[in-house]
Amino acid sequence: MNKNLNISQEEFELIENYLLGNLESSEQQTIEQRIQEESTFKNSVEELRTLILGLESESLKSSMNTFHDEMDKNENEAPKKALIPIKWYQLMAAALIVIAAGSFWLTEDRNDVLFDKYFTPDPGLPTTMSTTDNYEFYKGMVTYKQGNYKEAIEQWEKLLVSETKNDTLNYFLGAANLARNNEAAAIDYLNKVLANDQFAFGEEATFYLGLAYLKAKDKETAIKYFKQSDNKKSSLILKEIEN
Amino acid sequence: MLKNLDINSLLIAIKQNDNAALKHLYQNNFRKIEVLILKNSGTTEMAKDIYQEAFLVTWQKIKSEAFVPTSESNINGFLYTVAKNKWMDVLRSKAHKNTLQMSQLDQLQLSQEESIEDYKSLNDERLELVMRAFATLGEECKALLKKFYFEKQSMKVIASELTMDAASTRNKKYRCMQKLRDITLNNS
Repeated sequence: MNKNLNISQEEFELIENYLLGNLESSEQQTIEQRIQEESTFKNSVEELRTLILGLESESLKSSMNTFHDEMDKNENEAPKKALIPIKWYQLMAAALIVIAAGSFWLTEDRNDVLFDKYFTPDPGLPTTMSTTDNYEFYKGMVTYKQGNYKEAIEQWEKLLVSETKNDTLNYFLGAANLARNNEAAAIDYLNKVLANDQFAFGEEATFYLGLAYLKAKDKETAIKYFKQSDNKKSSLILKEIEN
Repeated sequence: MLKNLDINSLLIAIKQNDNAALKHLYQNNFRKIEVLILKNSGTTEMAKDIYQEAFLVTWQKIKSEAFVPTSESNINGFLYTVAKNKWMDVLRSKAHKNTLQMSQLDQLQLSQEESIEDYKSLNDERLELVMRAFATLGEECKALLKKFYFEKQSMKVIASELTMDAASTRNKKYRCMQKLRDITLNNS
C-alpha cells in the first residue's frame, strides 16, 4: 500500500459502491475504464478491496468460534435426537434434498436406536485427593466425570504426546469420544488398548467398540466385538441386533 | 429448518455472509475433518485451528470467485481438500523438526489433483496485515465496520443504533477505514 495515497471521502464512497456492486452498469463501466487507464486509481481500488476482505475475514473468525461452541454445546446437551413432527411433503422434499446434496440426514436409524439404548458412559476412575502421581490424568478424570467430555479430551490429548501407549489413557479417550458421538475417534483409541490382553478394562473396551461400530453403521464388525465381549449387555444386544 | 439448496442462492448467501448459511456449512463439515486429523497424529484443538483456517480460505475464494462451486458437496469437498493440504504441511514441518517419524506421514497421501494451487491459501501478506490491524482497531470502529461490511446492515439502521444522522455515520465509517489503513501501513 502506498502511504501517500490518501483518498477523499467522495472517492472512497465511489470505489466502495463499485466494490459492493451498488453501481449502475454504465457507472460500473466508467470505473472499470478508469482502472485500466489510471494506475493510481487502480491501486486505490485494490487497496480498498483488500481492506474490506481483510476486515470481513477477521469478523468471520469470531463467527466461526461461535459456530464451534454452539456445535459442541448441541452435541453435549442432546445425545438423543429429538423427534420433530414432520409433514409428509417436507419429508419428500427432505429426501430429494438428501439425494441432491449427497449428504446424510438425521433419521432414526436402527443402529442409533440400539446405541442409545445400550450406551452409558463409562463412570470413570475414583479421584481421591490423595492421588498425587499422574495428577494431570486425574485432573482430566474429574472433568470427565462432570460430563465435560470435550474438555477432558483436550486435557488428556496433551498427555498422549508423551504417553502414546498408555492403555488407560487411550481407553478413556475412547470412552469420552464415544460419549460425544465421535465414534470414529473412539474406534481408533479403543482399538489401541485391545493389543494388550492383560488390560483391566479389556472387556469394557470390547463392548464399547461394538457400540462404536454400531454407531458407525458397521453391523458386522459390531457383532464381532459383542461376541468377543463377555458381559451381560453384549448378549442382550446381540439378541436384538440379530432380529 | 430445511435448507434451500439451490447452489446459486447458497452462493449469494455465502457472499453476503449470511449467518445461517455459514453456520450450516461450518457445522456440517467439521467432524469429518476432525477425524482426518485425529487419525493422523493430531488433536481436537489442532483440528479446530486447521479447520477454521481452511474454512476461511474456502470462504475467501468463494467471495473472490477464485472458486466457483457447482454444488454444496463441491464446497464440502473443496473445504476438505484445503484442510488436508494444511494438515500435510503441518506434518511435513513436524517431521522436518524430527518430532514425528517420517513413516507416520505415509498414512496421509495427497494426490496430484489435491495438491494444486487452488487448494492453497491466498498467500496475501497484505490481507494478513489488514486482519491483524482490524483486531487492534478500537471497539467503536470495529463494531461499525463489522456491522456494515460483514453483517451487511444498512447505513440507516446503523445510524439509528448510534443515534447519529446518516451523513455523520458515513463520515465515521470513512474515518474508521482510514484508521484501519493507517494501522495496516504502520505495521507493514
